[in-house]
Amino acid sequence: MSSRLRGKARPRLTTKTRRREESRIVFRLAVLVPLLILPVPGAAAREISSAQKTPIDLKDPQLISEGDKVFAQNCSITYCHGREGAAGRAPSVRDKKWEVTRLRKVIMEGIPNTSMPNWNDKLTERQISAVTAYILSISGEEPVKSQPSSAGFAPEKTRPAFTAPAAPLPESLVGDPARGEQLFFATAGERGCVGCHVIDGKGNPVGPDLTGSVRRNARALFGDIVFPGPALDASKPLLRIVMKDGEKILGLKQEETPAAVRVFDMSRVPPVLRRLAKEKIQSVEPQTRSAMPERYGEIYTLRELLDLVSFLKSSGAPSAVRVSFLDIQ
Amino acid sequence: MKRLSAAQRFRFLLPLVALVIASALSAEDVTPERLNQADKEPDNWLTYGGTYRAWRYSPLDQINASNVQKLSVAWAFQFGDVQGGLQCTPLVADGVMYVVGPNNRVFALDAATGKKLWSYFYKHQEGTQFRYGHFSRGLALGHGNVYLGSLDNYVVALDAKTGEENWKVNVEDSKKYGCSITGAPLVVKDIVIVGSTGGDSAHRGHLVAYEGKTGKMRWRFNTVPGPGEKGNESWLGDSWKFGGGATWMTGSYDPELDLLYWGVGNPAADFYGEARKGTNLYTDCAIALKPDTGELAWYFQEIPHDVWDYDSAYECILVDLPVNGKVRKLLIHPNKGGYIWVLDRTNGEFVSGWKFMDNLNWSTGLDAKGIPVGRREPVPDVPIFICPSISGARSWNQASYNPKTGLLYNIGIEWCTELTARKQEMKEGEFAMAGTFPTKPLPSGRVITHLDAHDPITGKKEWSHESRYALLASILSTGGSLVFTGDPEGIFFALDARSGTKLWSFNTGAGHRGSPITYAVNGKQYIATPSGGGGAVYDGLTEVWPEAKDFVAGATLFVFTLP
Repeated sequence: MSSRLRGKARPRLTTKTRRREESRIVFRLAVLVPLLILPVPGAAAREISSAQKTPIDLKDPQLISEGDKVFAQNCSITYCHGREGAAGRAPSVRDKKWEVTRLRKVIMEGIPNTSMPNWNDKLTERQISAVTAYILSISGEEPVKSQPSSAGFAPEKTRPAFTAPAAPLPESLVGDPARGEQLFFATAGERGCVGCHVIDGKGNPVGPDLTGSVRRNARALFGDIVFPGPALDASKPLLRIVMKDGEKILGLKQEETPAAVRVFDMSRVPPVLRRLAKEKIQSVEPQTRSAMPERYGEIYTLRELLDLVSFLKSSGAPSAVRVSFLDIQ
Repeated sequence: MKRLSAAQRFRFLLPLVALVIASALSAEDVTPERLNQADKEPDNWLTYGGTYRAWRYSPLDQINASNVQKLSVAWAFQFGDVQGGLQCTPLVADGVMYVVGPNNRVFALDAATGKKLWSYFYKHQEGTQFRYGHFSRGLALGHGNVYLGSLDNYVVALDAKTGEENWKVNVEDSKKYGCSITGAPLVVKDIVIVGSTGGDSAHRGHLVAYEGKTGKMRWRFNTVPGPGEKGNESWLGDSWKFGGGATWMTGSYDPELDLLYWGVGNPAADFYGEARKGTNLYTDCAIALKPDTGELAWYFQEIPHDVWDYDSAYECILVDLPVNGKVRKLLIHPNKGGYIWVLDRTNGEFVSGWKFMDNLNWSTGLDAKGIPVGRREPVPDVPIFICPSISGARSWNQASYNPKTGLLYNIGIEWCTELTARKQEMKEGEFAMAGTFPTKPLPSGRVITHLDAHDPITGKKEWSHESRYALLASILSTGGSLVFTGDPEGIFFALDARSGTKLWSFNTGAGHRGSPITYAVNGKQYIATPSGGGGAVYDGLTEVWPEAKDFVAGATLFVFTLP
């Protein structure tokens, strides 16, 4: 196309003919450009090269081998996707299900506001096809969906929008899930829940997993924080242990062997999973109460407790929940 | 009276009892006193840097320049998992070696034969992401324990005798904070101190100390101060929240001054500084803490407001040497950006600074206070060509100081990066480089790697050994006037410590990315080296050497001795 425009035989164009010529170019571009970036229906593992209009076989071993080299020199490098795509600081690209068009788009355009750059100005089209083919070869492939999805990448987690305020109460009596999240994951001093609880796969499984708290009512959650009840699991009692060297341990029993007992030492945050040799134990006194500390009514303000319950109720919920003073009465 | 007479009757047995006790000494008896005086036990390698001074030097001289050619393999140990390679520093206490391999596999071995005494395979939390790799750089000994920092951010104390888990505690949730522990812990007095990696993620760095006996947290020092804390004013707005400052290598300790020294990594995000205007304390600092409380004694910021990922996380080498005729207590601190800072370790005062690579263009030099001047700042969305590469004028692999030669053995890599900073949103725990950073050779098209012998105060070069590929393994120097290290192809070699002449080499078959040590059992000296490349910079060699793609993975410990 460009050779025709620049060719020796090119006639002197009048303004009119030039305009017509330009409009033809624009028309051609309008047809061709989408072929570069849009999905080709029904051609998951094939794509049309804009230059030759010949299909590129993404399963071509030669192309995959080229892509292997491109990947090793650009993608697996220092800090990024790791050797053979097995993850570096950036996510793994192996053993995933990729939608070809989505994969290619991410390679070409990058992901805005992240460390994934665009490669359309750094790699040739052939190289982009090659690296696409290589990634598919170390991963699986997912058929094209009508909606572009986030195949391969975890879906963007966004905080759901607030629903209407629970009651026309002063702000100090309405919880905020965002503040509650910060309190939950705090690791300083006695504050914070993450040392003993898991939520959405994050945290420590000392006490109950709080994922799914959305289904419990706010009053019960509030009560569990400020008035911990009796032990939940009889096989894991809370023990008051005195060691022969005088150390006193409040231990949540995990397992017992003939020679030792393994407990979570609850006497300081974060709890420590300790193996206590029986020969070093002076006395053991089982407690009936749960291992949940009893001080949270004093450690947290009312507003902070409402924040925490709001966070628990919002986690996994379709929309953020603001628990108010009225909800816990 | 009767009892006394019994004791008297068996008194002849006392020397025998003493002998039995002495021969039963092992890691369970690595006391704080022994660690304080580790230099008095050349047969052992008790702590990450050899001693608290981090010299990576041993006075052992049975293997020396006159007989090193005869070195041969005594035994080898296979880790059975090669993921991420072998980056550890083996520890040796009283004939027992402690090593950690890929995916936090810990082994205790008979140091004379390689026979396995016990093993411990750590189980990671489900869904652990291993963003900073599958390797671990080492363990710590003390309080009857072997300490491991895990890749999912737990500290584990194993019984040194049996490998049983004595205690285990979580530092921070690795999924949420994007951090893991790859560095070796450090035992000081009754505590064990750990740092975390995570400098290229949106996170806030820290050092945490736990009681050795119980695992209870003693203190936590945030390398990025929060609101109300001194230094928080060096961060724009909320940028301190995910300000980086990872403590991913292992610190040093001076028992006389009772100060703990640690290098602090780069601020996050790495290259885009607009969102975190200010000097960004205590990133890119050498810090001194009081080990009993975690209180900051002093700091020296080497690169205020770093925008090149030149973190100051590397080793703190403690030496006492004359400066202008007066012996001073010094801290020698190599930096990723190509300078070595020499500080007074009693107060953090700048003593001298010198560069260990020739092609350094991100700054024109250091001023009288040791602060880099003539900086070449990245401009968002505009590529700049900076040297050294953001992979470092040297990687983490450590230098060695040899008191017999008075020389510091250190690696310099002449390579560059085409750096383009771009704005990035900070999401907790997520990768946050804020830019692109392809590694490039020098404008001449070459990459030059040199292992050099320097005067530690002035930087004066005594000799230089050039390598074909970037050298990514630590250096060991010995009283036998030898310098050992290995290359990424798998060649482990010895140089003459005084001349740099290559005296011996051995192909271990997989690249070197760990830290060699030397030790002795029953009067016989051994040299041990991990073999098996891995990690970010090793895997990035392909950018300038495409053939590095074919360097095979491995995880084997080779141990050499004289026949």
